[in-house]
Amino acid sequence: MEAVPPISALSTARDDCWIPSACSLCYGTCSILAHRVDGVLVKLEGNPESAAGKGRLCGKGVSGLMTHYDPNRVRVPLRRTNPKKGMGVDPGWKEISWEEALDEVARRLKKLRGEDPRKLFIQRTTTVTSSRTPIQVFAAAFGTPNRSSAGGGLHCGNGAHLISGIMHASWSVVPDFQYCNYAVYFGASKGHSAGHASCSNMGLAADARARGMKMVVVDPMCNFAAAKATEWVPIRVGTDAALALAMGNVMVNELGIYDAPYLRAKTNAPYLIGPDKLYARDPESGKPLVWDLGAAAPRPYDAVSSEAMALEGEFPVNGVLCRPAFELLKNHLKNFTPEWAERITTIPAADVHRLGSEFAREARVGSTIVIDGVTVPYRPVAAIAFRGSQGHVNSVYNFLAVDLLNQLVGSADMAGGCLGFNPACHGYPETGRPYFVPKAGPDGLMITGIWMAHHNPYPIGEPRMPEQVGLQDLFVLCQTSPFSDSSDREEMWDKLDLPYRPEILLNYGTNSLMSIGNKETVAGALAQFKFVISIDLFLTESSDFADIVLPDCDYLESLDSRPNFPFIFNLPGGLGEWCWPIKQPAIQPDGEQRRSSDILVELADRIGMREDLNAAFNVVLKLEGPFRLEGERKYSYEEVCDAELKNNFGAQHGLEWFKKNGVIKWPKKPEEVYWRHFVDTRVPIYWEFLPVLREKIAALAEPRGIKIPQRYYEPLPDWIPCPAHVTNGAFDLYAFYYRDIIHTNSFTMENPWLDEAARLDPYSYTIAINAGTGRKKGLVDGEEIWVETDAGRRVKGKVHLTEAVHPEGVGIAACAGHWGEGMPIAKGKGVFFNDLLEVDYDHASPVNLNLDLCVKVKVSKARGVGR
Amino acid sequence: MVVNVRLFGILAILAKERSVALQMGEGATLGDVLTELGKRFGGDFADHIFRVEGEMHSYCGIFVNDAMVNDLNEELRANGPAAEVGMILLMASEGG
Repeated sequence: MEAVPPISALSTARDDCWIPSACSLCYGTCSILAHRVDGVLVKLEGNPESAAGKGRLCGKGVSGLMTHYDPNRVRVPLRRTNPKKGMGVDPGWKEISWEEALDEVARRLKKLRGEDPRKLFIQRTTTVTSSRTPIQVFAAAFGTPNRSSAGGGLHCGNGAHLISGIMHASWSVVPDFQYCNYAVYFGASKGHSAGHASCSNMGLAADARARGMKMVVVDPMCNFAAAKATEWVPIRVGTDAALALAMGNVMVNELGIYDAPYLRAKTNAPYLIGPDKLYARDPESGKPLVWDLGAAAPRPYDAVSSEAMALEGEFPVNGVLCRPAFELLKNHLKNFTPEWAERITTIPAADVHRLGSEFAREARVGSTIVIDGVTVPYRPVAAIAFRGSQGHVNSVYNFLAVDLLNQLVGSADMAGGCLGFNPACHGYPETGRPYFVPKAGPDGLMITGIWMAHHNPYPIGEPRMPEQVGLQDLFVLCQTSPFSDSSDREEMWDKLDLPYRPEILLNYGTNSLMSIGNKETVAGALAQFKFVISIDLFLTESSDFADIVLPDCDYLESLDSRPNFPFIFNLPGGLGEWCWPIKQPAIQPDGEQRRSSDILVELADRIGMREDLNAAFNVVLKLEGPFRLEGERKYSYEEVCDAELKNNFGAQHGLEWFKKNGVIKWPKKPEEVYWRHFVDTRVPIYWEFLPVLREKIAALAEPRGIKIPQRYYEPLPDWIPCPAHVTNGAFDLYAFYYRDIIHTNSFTMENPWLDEAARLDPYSYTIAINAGTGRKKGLVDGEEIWVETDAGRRVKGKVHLTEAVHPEGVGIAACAGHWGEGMPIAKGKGVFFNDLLEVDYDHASPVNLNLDLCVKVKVSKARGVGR
Repeated sequence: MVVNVRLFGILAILAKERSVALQMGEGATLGDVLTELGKRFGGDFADHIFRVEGEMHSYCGIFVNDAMVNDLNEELRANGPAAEVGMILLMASEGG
């Protein structure tokens, strides 16, 4: 591939080139080729040279041109002239120069940093994956602990990412599509929608289905994954743990199928547990004890070969009878019969039994396979969960119960099983970088080895009185918190003596007014900031609360050395190739837009924190030796990217090399993909640390009037009802949302091509209700209805009666229903589901603060006119 | 042995100092240096470094003589006249 000519050099030759870069229409960030002719981008395609997308590009990706050329993009810096802030209040935007804008922003930030850097709150959109690093670096340099991804986390993976980290050393999980024969999806759509390794996974999932992989999708709605599945299992919203626990009961207690050698060697199943629910520990080393069957004595877990460890029985330790964790789990599972699960989930007991039996038998416990000359355990089953199942107050148990199915049959990170996304990498062969491999931590349990992601859920943090607005230093298993926006945030801050209040918001691309919960609550939080800076592509509903808007370059105008990192979920799991693509400008902006990364670097200099910024880049990017950024020297963001690439891939593979070649790649090894077989570390099937954690949190919170319920902090998972599961008269349906494959968050509704596709789709902009349920209520397909909560919140939209939703379900595509003037294509399209959601502690997981995303509703005719 | 410590971000703000020169005994480890810093700058500073006694927060980023180190038992060696340590916290978590 030829080097990409800059547009400025086109005076004598025709400009016609394909530029390798990266998509940013969703956080999947597939590699693309942008076709530019005479200075105009005319086409976007997938880059077949890259493993990120594997040459495929989804409908959103190809429509990126329409976002780029949208005449409604913000082109110049803006300052509000109306001091009054609120929804529907005209900010009175006035165009200002960059110098004026940056001067004011830097002056305010510098003053704030001098007073108390914690008063800066930074939030960013998850859509642009590569934004995480520069914003993380800026926050660390500034000295604020307050960073958020707005709706991300709360509506995504506070549970999924936590547990995938603890159990798989990863950010998320996916079936090993190349070898998996039986996959059960719980509220997940991996390989059938957007997000994680989206285009790559779509191809892999399609190939797997064609190969004969049976795919069972457990979901209240039969949409993207379920529509292509072998079997759709409609489930009552929020009850996934009940099904998974009952399946586990069938597997272990009825069929007696589990992978004992795996459980002994790779989990804490043999650790002895005392009556106090805690590990029995060696008095000298403090290490957890196991029962050594050979010596008939308790010994530290690392002093016994795994074959000699007891999994069942009752054993004396210093006069106290203790039991292996597995025995406790096995007995615990007996509580969850298929008949019990039917009452909770509405799934017939016979189906629950069948699913558990199929999963256990398809696991082929004890078998091995030779891959690329390497023998590894072969467990071709995977239980996958994601947002849908863990988006509840019972977030942790819902996700953990599903993953226990993998742990029981030993399919976690084994061939054909449930894979973490690339948690082990031995590095580019010429440099050995990036290198990351999980390792054993305290009590022998796994610590992630993830490169740059800084995703270290274990060992868990020590709860303390909070200095973070989101209270994550108290609720240490939380990533993204509702307390930056919740209706009870001031009450929580007061109770917990938060020593300051946030004053300035630096917003990058989020539209939090639409992405978190009901708009009145979030608007109240936005209005509380004394000053708001927003780096935006468009004027969104949330931009209306900004004091200064800085116009952002879009992805086709931007540069980054790690569009797919720091997270590692944008490369497909399983065997294949490692690849590291870059993002580079395919075209220059036609207004005064600037790249957000350049803006942050410029602000750092104006604030006077360049040395801190360089130090943070060094740590986050792991820059070493000659590639470290020095002292207070000013580097452009391009120079930082160049240093990172050379640091990882050698001096010959700097930014210029990547601009020409787009991507560097090398083959994966079975020892990386199926790392768990080769690494001596364990994961907890028994979360001994949870009750201990609860005691510590409660000791701080309960004297201040914040209840920390014991039930959520037990070592073994349970099913706990959501607030929506409480019977409430006329409120007889469960409203939930799903992530439309056509759209990403609230952002793409402005894209005309995607809007057209969504208008043609019968679901994207409608309210899906089961046809039988709708008929009983006298609803007519296409008529407008109200969906109303018992808190009095309501949204209106057209009903679509369908067989593809659970009889108790009301399915709405997420993040639609824009009302602002800044995105005129999006305005008035679809239904604003989040407006139904309460945002407070009562509606959040008391463990990881994930919001409960289902809500009990009633529906009624709005106008009574059918189509 | 002299250990020159450069503090960045919130650590420099808490310490009210950017650079600290510590006189440490031969064989001093990174943990010894951090403990000394905790004594010098107080409990709040120490809480920002240590998850529990003897264990750093996972978000504590430390360079020793231009290489990243996360083992408190790492013995410090002079790089020329002194050992150079740089520290910054990446404590703001988020994700989606």
